[in-house]
Amino acid sequence: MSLGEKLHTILIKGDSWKTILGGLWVTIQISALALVLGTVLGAAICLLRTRKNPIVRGFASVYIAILRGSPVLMLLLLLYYGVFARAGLAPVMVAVITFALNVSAHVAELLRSALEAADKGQAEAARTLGFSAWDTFRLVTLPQVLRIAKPVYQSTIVNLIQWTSVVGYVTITDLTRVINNTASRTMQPLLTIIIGMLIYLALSYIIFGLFALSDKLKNKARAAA
Amino acid sequence: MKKVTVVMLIALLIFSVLSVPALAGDQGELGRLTKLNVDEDTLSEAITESYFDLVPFSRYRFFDNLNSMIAALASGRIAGMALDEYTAQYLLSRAGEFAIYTPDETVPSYNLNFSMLLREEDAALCNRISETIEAMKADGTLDALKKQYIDDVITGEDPEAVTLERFDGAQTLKVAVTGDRPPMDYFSEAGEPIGFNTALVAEIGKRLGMNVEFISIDTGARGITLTSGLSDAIFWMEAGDYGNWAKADVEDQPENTIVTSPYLTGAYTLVVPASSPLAESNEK
Repeated sequence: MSLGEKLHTILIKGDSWKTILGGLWVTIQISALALVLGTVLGAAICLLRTRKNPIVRGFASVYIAILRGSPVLMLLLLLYYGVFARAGLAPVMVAVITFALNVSAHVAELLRSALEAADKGQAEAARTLGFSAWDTFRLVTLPQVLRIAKPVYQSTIVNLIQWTSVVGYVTITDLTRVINNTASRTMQPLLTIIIGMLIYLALSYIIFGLFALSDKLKNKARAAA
Repeated sequence: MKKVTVVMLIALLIFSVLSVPALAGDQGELGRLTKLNVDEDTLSEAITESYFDLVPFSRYRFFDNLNSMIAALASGRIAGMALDEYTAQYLLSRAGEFAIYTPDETVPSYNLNFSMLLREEDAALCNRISETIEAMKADGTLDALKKQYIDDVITGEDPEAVTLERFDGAQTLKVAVTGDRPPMDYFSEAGEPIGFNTALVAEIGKRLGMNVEFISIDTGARGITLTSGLSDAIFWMEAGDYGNWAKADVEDQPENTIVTSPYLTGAYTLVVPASSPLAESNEK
């Protein structure tokens, strides 16, 4: 079989490209939902992590340690076949919860690092000038934190997309599962896997591109101002 | 701190160098799909005298799914792989770079029995399924399904989609499918489960007046779907003609599970790269 024939069998025959796109859509949905939930939760955990109360701080530390230290597949299996086994939650929802928890731990930690790296002198100066605590945080600290956290957050998003490849273990047919099914049906595992990898790569570079675009637009706005 | 870092780096380097032999692997290995309850070392040891001393392979290397095993064979990481005859024939019909290796008569061969695995507590359902399978054997339905979903598919025909009958208010039989063993269990271009196993279960469901639901699951998680109750049954393959294989293969069946009557038998078949000298020879 020539390469062209193999590609036809994998991608075109029987409209298999539609099934691949369907799997890709599932991957994007789970990633997007988990990212939004995980970021909000991560910010909240970061806030707890920086509190003076040792119990609150301790809880946040343990939360981060457990979720960052556990393989995401183990966590997914535990939640799906254990914790939520009789809860009646759809597999996709359990997957979103799992990845949101995992992402929240990473986001909490990267926000905490960014907070520590932000210039405290500027915040003190703002307070001295009469800014409220909230305004100081919003106008002085937060922009710095976001700028410092951005590259790591970008990597977190790309990692999240890759982590979702294990959802086949909990009956979800995502991009990886479709690629595996296609490889089994066509008996062309290497070529099919390469195609799958290229799709994941494209997705990752779209994320990189979006961040680069946002930097470009911001610089443009700053130059115009 | 600097000294600690240097010591750790040296330790890591030594570990990496010492690990190379283990990581290199043995390329005379025979690939096989992971068995649930026995590891590759135990199984290989159990049959070294009766099998591996007689064939040009050193031991088993387990793989979690068919794709990774085929990739390993294609890349030369293993010298051959063990499959049932139907999947082997399907592979040869779809990918021309493989061939079957037939050892000489001195090497024990055996047949694989295809059946379904259920939880022990579902013994009544298991018996009903077994009775249905025997009835399907007797009236020729199984032979007809085999021709349509295995023989014709191996020769290149596309199988018909499996239609499931719906029975209002009936119990649902949930069966896990992995898509990992064509032509028995795989997915169509449209993402629907197809294959002999799915056609078989559809017919069983129809005869028992049960609704059938297929649960798509990764091969590595099929055991847990059964034990957790997510599925009522999974497809199972075990060795018939036990002889020296008995201890190793019987130990594979998980505890608290029961097996239906076999619905199909297939020969244990060895596949090698078409370029392998074994492809042209029947002797060790």
